[in-house]
Amino acid sequence: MYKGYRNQVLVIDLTQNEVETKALDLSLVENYLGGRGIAIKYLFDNLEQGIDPLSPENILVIGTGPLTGTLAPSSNRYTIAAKSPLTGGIGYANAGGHFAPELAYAGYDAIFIHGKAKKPVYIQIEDDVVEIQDARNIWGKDVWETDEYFREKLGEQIQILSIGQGGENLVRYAAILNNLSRAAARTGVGAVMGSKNLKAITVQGTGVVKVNDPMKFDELIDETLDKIYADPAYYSLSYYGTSFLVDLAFISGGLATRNHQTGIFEHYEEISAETFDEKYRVKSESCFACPIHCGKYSKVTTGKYAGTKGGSPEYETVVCLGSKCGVGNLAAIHHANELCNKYGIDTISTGDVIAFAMEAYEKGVLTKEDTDGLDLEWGNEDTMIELIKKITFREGFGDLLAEGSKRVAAKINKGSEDYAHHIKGMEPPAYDVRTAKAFGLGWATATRGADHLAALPNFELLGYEPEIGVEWFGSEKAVDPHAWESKPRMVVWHENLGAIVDSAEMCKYTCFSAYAVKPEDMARFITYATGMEMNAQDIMRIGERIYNLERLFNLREGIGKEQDKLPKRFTDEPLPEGPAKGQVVELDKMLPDYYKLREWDWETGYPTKEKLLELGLLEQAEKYNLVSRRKEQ
Amino acid sequence: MTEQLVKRRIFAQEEKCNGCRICELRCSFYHEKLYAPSHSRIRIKKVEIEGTTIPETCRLCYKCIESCPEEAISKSEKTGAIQIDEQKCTGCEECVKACPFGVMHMHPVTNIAITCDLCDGDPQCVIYCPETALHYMTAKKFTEFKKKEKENIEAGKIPKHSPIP
Repeated sequence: MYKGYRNQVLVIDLTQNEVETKALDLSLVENYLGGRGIAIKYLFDNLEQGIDPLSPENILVIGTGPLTGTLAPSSNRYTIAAKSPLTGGIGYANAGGHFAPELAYAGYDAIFIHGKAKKPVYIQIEDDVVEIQDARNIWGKDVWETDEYFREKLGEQIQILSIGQGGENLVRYAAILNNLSRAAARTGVGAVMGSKNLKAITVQGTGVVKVNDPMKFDELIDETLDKIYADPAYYSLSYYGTSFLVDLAFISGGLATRNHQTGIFEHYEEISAETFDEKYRVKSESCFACPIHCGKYSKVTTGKYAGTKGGSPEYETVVCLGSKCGVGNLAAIHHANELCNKYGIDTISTGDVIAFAMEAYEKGVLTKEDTDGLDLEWGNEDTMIELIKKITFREGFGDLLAEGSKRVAAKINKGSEDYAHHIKGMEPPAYDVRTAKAFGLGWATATRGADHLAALPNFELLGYEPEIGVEWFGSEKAVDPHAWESKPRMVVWHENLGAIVDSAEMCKYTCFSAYAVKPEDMARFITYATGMEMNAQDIMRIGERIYNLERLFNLREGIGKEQDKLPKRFTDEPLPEGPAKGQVVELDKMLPDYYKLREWDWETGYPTKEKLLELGLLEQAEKYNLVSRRKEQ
Repeated sequence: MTEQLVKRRIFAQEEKCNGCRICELRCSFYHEKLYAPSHSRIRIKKVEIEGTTIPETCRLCYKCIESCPEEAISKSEKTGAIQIDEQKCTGCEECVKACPFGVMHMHPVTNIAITCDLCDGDPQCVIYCPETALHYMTAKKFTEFKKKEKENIEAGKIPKHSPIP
């Protein structure tokens, strides 16, 4: 047994209505650490190739990590994973809040949910009592109503994970929420939960989490806090929250506007951090044990959207439901955000699919006849809000949009696939990656589709001196966001460490904003917490293993090299104006180097035998013929 | 025992508290070298929908002392904090009922009453609060502190933390 972990997992079969408590497999955490790592290993081993993601055969995995419930800064997150109904490949989403530590105090490292309940159910966990309960009377309620229902029924002390109507109605980008506004939003995990007739999971835990070396662990926390508080971005992030990134994106010329037609938004000031602070910000609303506390609580007190309140829109949301749709009214964005959180749909994909529809409308590919009479002109906030409802309830035109941009484009055709931005079927986040090339490469190679978080190579944006670039990634160009040189190395490093961060279940802001936790620091956290002796190399090896197994999962599902690409606009259409005018992502220059560093075959996209052997993945790959026949290039 | 020490207690600025609960973990770690909000002497009470987070701290009103049928609860000579004699406590919960501020709890393992002991004069929750929402002061000092903080915010000397309207 290792400390840090609770050494117990739950295996729940909803078809059979059975709950089983099992011991945590030690080799699983030795090789995959926790959270995201445990999830991919379980899904690769237990999912049949080619299953329908919305069928009972899919498995929903909820994973915490060895630091969950401790004071290690921002280690409050969980991963929720399944085969994605949006991409058909590995799907996972990650959220903070207070759910994961409660699950740890209840005594569990992970939950594996199989099958499908005959009627709507919820899972109730109170320490070692775990029961599947009838949820018929709350099916149809939104996330906030569900939260209220459970708090009245079970008390204020519980933590709740639930879907809204989005997940119930199988919107392909439905989210799962906890603490009202913390969303495990991406890849459609909410639809998978809905397909299982699982409305919610409630948890109350009164247990404890112990670490192996409490005093060394505590000293390391103090050391890490010093680094976090010394970070120049600390004040902005902790006070304004991620909304301050709106300003940074604007300054760099990458504030995605009107479906990425430009990076300059004429209503920038109306959605800026300053406007947010002046008109809407109430206070900070932190995830568990986080010294950064980037989450904000906000209220709209006047005008049409008065009464809107709750966790305020993050940067991604402000852009996707704001400038990407041409909407320059932060109150409307707050309202749209609140609706998405209540209904349980991903604000990124939702904003993107609406922005895409708006461009199709602009080009005359969609008309009012297709849109139930709605005017999809840029910036029409009423339409945007109406569409959020229609998508959630799959009404009329919304039923089509609920399928995601890729499927919408396949339906309406007429050249629309050129501006239906998606990668592997998932819609892209807020940043315009033509202004940040490592981010561009990271989107293309992320295993779950267009994803800024797989790599999150903030390094290129932080204004480091060129010498630091040389020191970290072997090139002065590493600190220039417009340069493509050295970015493959940067992306591989971040992806591998990112897989570890998601498996230790720490927040990427601790690791990739202040770089307060580097591989050697993470190794110490894991060692002191668990008693497993680890160094930086061991840590990065596990990260690489996780990344490669996700790759194998995708390859097994037929998602290969041909899908490691960017939407055409980012590679072929230079940014038309602003400080990054003329920039495109030089993906063709970066991708071959990336494959070389990964030791993946440039022709087939399969990992080489040597790499698979090194990572202990050869057997799995051979079973499905996913080994490159070539020698290392 | 100096008069000043006796009057110091933990004051909370609710409007600054962000609900991170670092205080709860600092408390359980200091007392038991483990992490468990259920073992904490300070608790954060939340109404998430309204964005309110209230740190529940001991006001040193000593109602628990009066309520205890076993005379297991007394006042620390050094800090004025509540101290509980674990040998005498029977777990009857009279003190939990008597506490007007909801800060008296039963330990989930030992079933003995636990409450804030001010970490023997060095409260860990105050030291580690990332928002400096907790203060270990006399009432007079806390009033002065708040006044000065308000003046500084108005003068733009320190960043504002918007109070709830």
